[in-house]
Amino acid sequence: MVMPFRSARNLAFSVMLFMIIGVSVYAYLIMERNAERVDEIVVVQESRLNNWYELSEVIREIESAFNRYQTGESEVISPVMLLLDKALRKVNEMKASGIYVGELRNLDSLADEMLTFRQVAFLYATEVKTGYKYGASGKEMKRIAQNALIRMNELSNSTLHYVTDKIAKKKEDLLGNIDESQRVLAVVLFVSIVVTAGAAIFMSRALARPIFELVTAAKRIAAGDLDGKIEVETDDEIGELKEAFNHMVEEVQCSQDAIEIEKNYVDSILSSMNDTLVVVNADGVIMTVNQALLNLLGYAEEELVGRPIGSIFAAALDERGANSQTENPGKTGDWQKSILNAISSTKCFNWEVTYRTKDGRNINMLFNSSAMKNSDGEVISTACTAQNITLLKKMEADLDKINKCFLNFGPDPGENIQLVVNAVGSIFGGKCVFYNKLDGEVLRTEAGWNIPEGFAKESPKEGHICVDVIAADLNEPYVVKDLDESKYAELDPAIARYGLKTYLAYVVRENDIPVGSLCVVYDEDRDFDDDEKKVLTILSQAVGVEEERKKEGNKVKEAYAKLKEAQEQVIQGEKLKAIGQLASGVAHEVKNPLGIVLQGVNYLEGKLELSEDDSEILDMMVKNIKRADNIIGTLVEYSRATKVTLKAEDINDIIKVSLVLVRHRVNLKNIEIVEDLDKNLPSVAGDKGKMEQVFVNLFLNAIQAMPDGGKLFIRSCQKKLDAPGDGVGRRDTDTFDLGEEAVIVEIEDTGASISEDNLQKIFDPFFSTKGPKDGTGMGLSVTKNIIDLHRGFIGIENRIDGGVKVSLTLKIHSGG
Amino acid sequence: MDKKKVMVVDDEQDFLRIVKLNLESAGEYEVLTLSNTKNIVAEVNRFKPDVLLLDLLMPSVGGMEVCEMLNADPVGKRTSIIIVSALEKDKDKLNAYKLGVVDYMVKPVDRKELINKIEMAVRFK
Repeated sequence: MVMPFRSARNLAFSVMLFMIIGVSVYAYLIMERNAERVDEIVVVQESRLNNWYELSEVIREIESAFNRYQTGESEVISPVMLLLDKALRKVNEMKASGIYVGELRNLDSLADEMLTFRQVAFLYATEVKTGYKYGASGKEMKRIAQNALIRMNELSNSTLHYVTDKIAKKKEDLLGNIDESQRVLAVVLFVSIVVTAGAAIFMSRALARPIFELVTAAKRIAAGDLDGKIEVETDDEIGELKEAFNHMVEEVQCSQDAIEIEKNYVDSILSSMNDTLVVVNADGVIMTVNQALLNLLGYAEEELVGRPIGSIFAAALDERGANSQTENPGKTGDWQKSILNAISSTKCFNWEVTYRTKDGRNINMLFNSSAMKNSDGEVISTACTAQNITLLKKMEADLDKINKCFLNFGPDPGENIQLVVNAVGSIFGGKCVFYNKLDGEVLRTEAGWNIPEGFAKESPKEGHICVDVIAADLNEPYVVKDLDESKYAELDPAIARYGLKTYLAYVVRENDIPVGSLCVVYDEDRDFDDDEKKVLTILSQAVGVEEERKKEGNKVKEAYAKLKEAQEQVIQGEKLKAIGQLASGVAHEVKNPLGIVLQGVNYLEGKLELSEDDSEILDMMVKNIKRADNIIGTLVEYSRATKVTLKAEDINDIIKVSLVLVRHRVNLKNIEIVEDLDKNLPSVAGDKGKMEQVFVNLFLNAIQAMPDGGKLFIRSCQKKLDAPGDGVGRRDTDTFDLGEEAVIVEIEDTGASISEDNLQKIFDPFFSTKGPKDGTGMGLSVTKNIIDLHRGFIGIENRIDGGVKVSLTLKIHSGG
Repeated sequence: MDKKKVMVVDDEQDFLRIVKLNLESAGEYEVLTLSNTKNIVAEVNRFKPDVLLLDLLMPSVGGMEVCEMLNADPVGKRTSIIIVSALEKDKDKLNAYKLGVVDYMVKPVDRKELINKIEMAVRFK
C-alpha cells in the first residue's frame, strides 16, 4: 500500500517522533527508578553513619561520666555502667547490620574494649568503695580503664571517618554510572533527531517503503525488542538512515545493558545483605524478597512473592511501630492494612517487631522500612529491612541481670556472692549452680542456686571436678561434657542421681590465687557460646573480688580484737595505777601513826609490874599493829602489779619452783601432793615471777584449808576450748575464742568447801574466809589480777567430795 | 663508858617523844630529838651524835637533802645515819644507801629491832 507522500511522510515523521520520545521516556523511567534505588541504598547507608555519630556521642558521655566518678563529682559508678550497656547495645545493633569489613572489625574491637572497660571500671569502683584496699592495683585498673576509653574513642572516630568515606565513594560511583548512561542517552537522542531530520528529507524525496520499514522497526523497538535490525539494501540516504537507525538501536541496547549491569549490581548487594529485605507494592503485596529473609523464615521465594505482607508478621503493628498485643488475628483486610500503614509511615525506624517463620516460630527483628513515593506523594512501594535480634535480646536481658545483681551488692561479701550465684542461675539456667571453695582437705559449697534438698554441702576434695578446675586455673571456662561417662561419675554419686550431663565452671581467684569454682551443671547436653563464657568469667571475677573483701573484713576483725585486748590491758593497768597511787599515799599516812603506836606499846612492855593480862593485851596490840601494816603492804603490792612481761615459759617448771617455796609448810601440815603434769605442754605466755606468786598464793590457800592434812592435787594439760563460758566466747570479758587451744592448770585441795555466796566474792579485794591471823584477804585478788594481766582465766568451784578446785586457763605462747 | 649519843630527826613530835623514852629507858643512850631540819648541820656539829635516826618525808628540808648536807660536813660525815621512814619502796631504799646511810628501817619499827640496828651502827662506825 502506498500512501500519499505527504501523509506518509507526516505519518512516518510522527511515528519516529513518537518512537524517539517513547524510547527516551522509557529509558528515562528506568534510569529514574535506578536512581531511586540507589538513593534508597544510600539512605540505608547513611542511617549507619548516624549510628556511628550516636555511638561516638555515647562514648563521649561514658568518658565524661567516668571522669565525674574519678573526680568524685559523682559518687556511684552505675551511670557509667548504664551508658556502657547502652553503647554495647548500640554496637550489637550496628554489628547486626554491618556492611563493610573494616567497620565490622572495628565494631568487634570496640565491643572488646567496652567489655574490658566495663570489667576494669567495675573493679576500680570496688576499690574506690573499699578505700583503695589494693593500693597499686587500683591505680592500675584506673589506668587500664582510661586507656580502654581512649581506644574506644579512637576506634569510633576512625570508623566514623571510614564509613563516611566509604558511603561518599559508593554514592559517587553509583551516581557516576547513572550519569554515564544519561550521557549515552543524550547522544542517542541527538543522533535520533539528526536521523529523523535526514529521514524527513529523504521522505520528502519519497520512498515510502523503507520508511514503513523504519516505522515497523520503530514500532518493534517501541515494544522493547531491540534485537531486530533493518536490512540495508541500498547505500543511498535511505540505506544510511537505516544504518543510522540500526546504530541507534545498538546504542539503546548498550544503554539498556548498562542499566541491566546496574540492576545486577544492586541485586547482588541485596542478596549479600545479612539483613532481611522485603519490598511490597502499594497494596501491601510482596514483590521482592532477598535470600536472607528466605533463609530466616524458611520459605521459598515463590511462596512469598504475591502474598500479603502480613504473612511474615507474628503480630499486628500499631502506629508507633511497637508490636501490638494482638496475636496474629488472621489475615483480615484490616490487619493487613494496619501493617501496611505502619510500615509505609515515615516513622518506621528501628522498631522491634516479631516475624513468624514458616514453621510458626517467632523471631525478634529490628525493623526499618522506607516508602518510595511518586511525584504526587503517593506510596508506590515500600522496602522493609530487618535484622534478627533474638540473640541480642537475650544478651540484653543477661546484661540487665548482671547489672541488677551488681547494683544490689551490699556490705556483706557472703550475701553478694549469693547474689552472683543467683544471677548465674537465672542467666544460665541448668539443673543447679554452685560456688565451691576449697578449705583444706574439704570442698565446701559456699553458695548455691536451686540446690536439691539433702545435697551435701561438704565433700572430700579427692577427685572432685571443682578441685580440677581450681588446679587447672585456666583463663577460660572449664567445660566437661558427658559427665555420666567421665571419670568423675564414679567418685561423685550426685552425677548419676541427678542425671547430670554437662558441667561449666570458671575458677574463682582471691588475690590471683585460685580458691574456688563457680559452676553450672545441666542434666542435658549443651554447648556454650563465647558470650556465655564471657558472662561466667565476669561473674566469677566478681565472686573473687567479694572473697578478697571478705578476707580484708576478717583482717579488720582480728585487728579490732587485738586493739580491744590492748585497750583492756591499758584500762586494767590504769585502774591499778590509780589504786597504787592511792595506796602509796595511804600507806605513808598509816605507817607513821603505826610507828608511834608500836613504839608506845614497846615502851609500856618495858615498864615493870605488868600483870599477865597486861602483857597479853600488849602482845595483842603488837600483833594487830603488824597486821595493819601487812594489809597496807599487800595493798601496795597488789596495785604495783600493773604490768607483766610475757615470755615463753614452761608452766610445769614454774609449778615446781613454787612447790619448793611452800614445801616446808606442806611437810608441817602432813599434806600429800599428787602431781599429774603433762610433760608435752606447749610454752605459755607468762611472767615467771608473777606466775610463781600466783602458785605460791594458791598453794598456801590450799594448805591453809587443810589444817589437819589432806591431799593437794596439781594437774596440767592442754585442751581445746570447745564450750563457751569461763572466759571463752564472744563477750567483752572473754579472752579466749571458742575452739582455741590453751593450757589448763588445776589445783584441788581436800579441805573445807566454800559457800556459794562466798564463792561469788572470793576474788574481791580484802575478802577472806580465814581468820584475821591467817591472811590479809588480798591473796586471791592479787592472784586474779595477775591472771587477768596474763589474759588468762581463773575459776574456783567446790569439789563434790569436799574441798575446792581452782582452775587456771592460760594462753599458749604464740611463737616469736 | 660514855653513853652513846643518838640524834632523832622526825617531824612528828609524838614519835620523837616515844622514841626518846624508849631509848633512854634502855639506859645506854643520850638522846637529842629534832623536829626541824633547818639547822641540822649546826645541831650535829654541836651535839656530835654517834647515830642519827632520820625520817625522809619532812617539811622544808627532806631526809635525802639532810644526808647530802651532812656528807659535805666534816663532823656530819662521821655520823652513822639510819633512815626510819614510812617509805618502803626499793627505789627509796636504794637512793638512801647511795647517800651512805648505814641502815634503812620501815615504820612501824619495833623497839628491840631499833636498838639492835643502833648497836650495829655504833659498832661499825
